[in-house]
Amino acid sequence: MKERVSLNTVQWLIAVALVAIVVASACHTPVTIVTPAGKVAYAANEVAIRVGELQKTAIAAEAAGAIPTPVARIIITWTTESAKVLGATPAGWGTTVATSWGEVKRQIPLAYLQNPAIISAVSAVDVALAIFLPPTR
Amino acid sequence: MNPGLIAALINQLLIPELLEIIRRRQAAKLGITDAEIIKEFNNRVLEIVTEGENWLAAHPK
Repeated sequence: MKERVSLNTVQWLIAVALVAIVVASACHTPVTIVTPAGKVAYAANEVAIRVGELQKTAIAAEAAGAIPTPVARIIITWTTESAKVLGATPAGWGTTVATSWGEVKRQIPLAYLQNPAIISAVSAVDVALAIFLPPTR
Repeated sequence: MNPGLIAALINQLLIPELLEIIRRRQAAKLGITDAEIIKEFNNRVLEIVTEGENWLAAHPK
């Protein structure tokens, strides 16, 4: 019993360490992007990629009947408006996009947020926001 | 939450996403420039807005 607990603990620590290493590595901008504008665009682009993937996933899930149209409308309204904010303020989108994302997740019943059709895309937005959220001034 | 479930979520959702970010960063090391990333970003934003507005127009409340 004790050995099993120790093994589980070791596995858990390894998983946490791996995630920490990967997160630390993922936070850096590529070395070929050198200007402040380029670095800002890189971070905003990484978030926009996940926002776009969420939008495509929501459209496909609604078309397949996996999520209802009103839920898809909430998601797609957010993705569209967030893309506008990212495009208009690539250095200052953080608070607006992160706050509105939290509001959107509160509006959608948990059963739909955890629907296999969209959970991966939802998690990807969470991860991207956690990694690339610009610091507030 | 069950540690096994947490580990499964990390394995299936978090790590693949983070690896994808690293893969893109490594690919970017091959020579993507500031101008190219800015252009890619602007094109992506336009694509998302266009696709989203078209869907919303086709699915009014």
